[in-house]
Amino acid sequence: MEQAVRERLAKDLEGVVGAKYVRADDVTRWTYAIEDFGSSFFYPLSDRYGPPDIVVKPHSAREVSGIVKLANAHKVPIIARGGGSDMTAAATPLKELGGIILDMTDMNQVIDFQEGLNAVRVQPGIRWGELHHELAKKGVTSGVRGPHGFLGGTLGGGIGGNCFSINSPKYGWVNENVLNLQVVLPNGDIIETGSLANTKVKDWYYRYCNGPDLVGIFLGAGGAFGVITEFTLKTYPIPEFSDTLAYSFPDIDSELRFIFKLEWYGYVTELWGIAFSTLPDSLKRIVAPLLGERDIVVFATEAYDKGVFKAQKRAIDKMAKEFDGTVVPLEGLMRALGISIIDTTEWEGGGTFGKVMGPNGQDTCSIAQLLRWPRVVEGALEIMKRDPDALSGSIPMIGADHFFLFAQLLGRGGVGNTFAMTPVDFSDPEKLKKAQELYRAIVESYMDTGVAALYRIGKESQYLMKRFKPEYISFMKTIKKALDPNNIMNPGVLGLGLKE
Amino acid sequence: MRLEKCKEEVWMCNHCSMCTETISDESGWYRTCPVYRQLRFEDSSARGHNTIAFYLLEGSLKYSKRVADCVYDCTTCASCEEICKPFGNVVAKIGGSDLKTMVPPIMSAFGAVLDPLRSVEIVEAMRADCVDLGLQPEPVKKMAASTEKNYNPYEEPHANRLKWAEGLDIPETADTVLFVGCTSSYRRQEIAVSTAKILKGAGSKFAVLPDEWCCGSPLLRTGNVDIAEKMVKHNVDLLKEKGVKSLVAVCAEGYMAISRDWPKITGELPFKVLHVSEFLARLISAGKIKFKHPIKAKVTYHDPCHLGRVMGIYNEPRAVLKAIPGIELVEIYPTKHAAWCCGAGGGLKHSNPDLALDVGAEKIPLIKETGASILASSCPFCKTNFMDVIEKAKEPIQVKDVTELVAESMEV
Repeated sequence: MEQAVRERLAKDLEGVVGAKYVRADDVTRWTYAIEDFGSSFFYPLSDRYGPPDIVVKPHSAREVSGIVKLANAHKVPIIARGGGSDMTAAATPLKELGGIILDMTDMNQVIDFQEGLNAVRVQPGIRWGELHHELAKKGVTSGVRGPHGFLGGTLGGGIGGNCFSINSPKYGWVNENVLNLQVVLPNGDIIETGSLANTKVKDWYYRYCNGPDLVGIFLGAGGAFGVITEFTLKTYPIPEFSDTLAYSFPDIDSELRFIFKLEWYGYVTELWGIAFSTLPDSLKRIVAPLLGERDIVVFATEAYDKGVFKAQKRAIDKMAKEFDGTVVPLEGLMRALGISIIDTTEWEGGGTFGKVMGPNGQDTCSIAQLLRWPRVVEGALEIMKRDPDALSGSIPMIGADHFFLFAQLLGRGGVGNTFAMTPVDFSDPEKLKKAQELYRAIVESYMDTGVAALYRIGKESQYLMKRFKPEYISFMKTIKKALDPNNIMNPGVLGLGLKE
Repeated sequence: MRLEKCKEEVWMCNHCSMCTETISDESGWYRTCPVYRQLRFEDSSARGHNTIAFYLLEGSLKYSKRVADCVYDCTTCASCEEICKPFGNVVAKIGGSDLKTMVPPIMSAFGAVLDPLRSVEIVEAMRADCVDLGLQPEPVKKMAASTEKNYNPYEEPHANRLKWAEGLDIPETADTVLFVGCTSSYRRQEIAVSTAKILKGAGSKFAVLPDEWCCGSPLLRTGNVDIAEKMVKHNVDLLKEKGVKSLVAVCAEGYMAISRDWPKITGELPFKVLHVSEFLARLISAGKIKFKHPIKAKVTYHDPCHLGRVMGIYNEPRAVLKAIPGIELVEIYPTKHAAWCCGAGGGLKHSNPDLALDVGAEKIPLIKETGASILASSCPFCKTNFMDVIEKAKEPIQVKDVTELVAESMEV
């Protein structure tokens, strides 16, 4: 965007939100040209992404509406951004288009909490830590605890990015917990969905009424169809009884079948599964003498009643034995220390990934049907082994000099999440290029062997669109054209809004 | 570019946003970056500073006045580093700040490095580049020039450094030297006087040095590395010449500089270093301090960032306060490793005094929540800024250094 146009637009935006909340200087703009670093070494270093032209901080739906109308009038892209920790560049502008970043983090209020309705209405810029703090005062929980981005990530980013969450095995994905939305459409109209579509309803939150479920098209859409400015999330009572249990299994098939059944019966709140064969040698050397060459599941189980809790743990033990599971004595230690696997966001200081695992250049995620998980991993492993140079970084804490791959198995109905990381020497352009090619190959293999690579489909997975069925792409494009004819809403996300 | 030395560190930032703004009830955090809390854009957080560093190294950004403004808007309070400590939050949940202080050295013995991303070091490297390029804010430039000329940042004559000690009859030679620091020498003399009177009352033999120079901390924090090195070398040479065996630092800033920064410049120090709160706690344990007058008040303690988060001293100032008869010590929330900064650190009081006040003002509701009538601290910088903040807010809260409360109770 030309400097004079940018200045004029910034002036107009100041009229909407106030001068204090509009920035168009280079330094501010470049600080919004980056999101999660762990996975995204290529976008800060590529020619594809760049800074926005202007950054704006709105404080209400009315202000967002005013900004969207201006953007439409000037045909300038508009990108809503939350905590800025997305791994797929969903909220990073494309260099050739630039645009206006809506930094939503000042829209962070709890609007309403209704005990009788088990729901909390919030603005999208609220951070997970803030939500937990507010709900704890009411003695309830949101169930889902938050995704990558830890407690500093915003809920808006989570729902726009279709994120999973700590506690997904029990409570489902974050978006399964969303009831109503308030959305600013690309033309500036402010709509409310579900029960709130009724002019007489102000504070009753139900999703599936007053016509079709229009919530769904905005969830996971990365802001392609509108800007979410409020939403309602389910709340739950806090279970009084909770323990972290662990079992080991002789092979991956037994482990996966146990996990599948555990989730199916509703006994598990949060779960990590580790496959021995995928660990780097340095970790194998630590794990094998302690637990043998077995596959391990660590999980939290909870209940509201002591009797039910005891019976549930007995049933879990019986279930584990069905699959040749052996108890790993972790329960007493975790209880004595007063910690739980549910607190995984608490476990990690922000530097856990960067400093412990090194400046990792590659961090891919996929989701797949749980029992198909070994095929997904085998495919990724084969690709990683192709290029030893790209695996030549190091992981300071564990001393591994090659890839690090594990699985976090989660989600309702047995969804497996594969998570592969490769340390990369960023200063060597050749190695970096090889690592980028490797990354793409792994992501494509996920798409071939699993269901979805990068379930958070941001801008960095546009090359995966070729795997989508043409009718599916055509349907999304039709919705996009109807809602956003000027293609101003986060062009590039989901592969939409770009020139053919 | 001095920033080059931080290249790998910059790459390691995961951009997770914990350092920007976070609440974690389980590990005691209520908000993280005090400057982001005020300014609300990415460029005012540690993550934003790391991004600026990334693009400076990569070449998309160039140093400018605007870059300087951003990197000087930081109190170097190190809450960004504290929340970044790998597995730090679960350690805090298990054993609080004490365990958090103990774990990294224990793990280090086993070869496991649990250092956080050194965001403050990155900011200080960018500031040093700004100094080299003449981009530092004018008040900081003035402060550095004054320190080079007068050996203190306050443009006060060096000859007046010991004016506060007139009539106290303190020798210039002893095994133990009180390192008073510039702020207690020129601005918060009541702290220097209280400390000296306590030590005399306890029968301790100590000296103060008329030729003490600035400890170098304000210079190092603001990127004026070369002048800082001159100060440090002078002080170390002087202390060596005097054959000093132990040094007691009156302020948190000085204690951090002497313990952490000086050895990097001059090598291992030939004397022990204690913060005054550690020294007082030892005197109390040895029964050498006799309290006469109870102070009937509810007191809350503010952890100076550079004494607590950076140097791991949380317990000694509290032990001293608890020993004073009549004082009811109440904890503020957040506290210790997650304590909210006073706003004065990192040169912010010089470079952007209004922002320093805004940061400090965030603490007022937290103090009021404790019901305390006295806010105690162990740092003359913190005391100065809180006095300004509380005066502006017209709140009935007294701000006192721990040493003042001890002296008052001893009636010295």
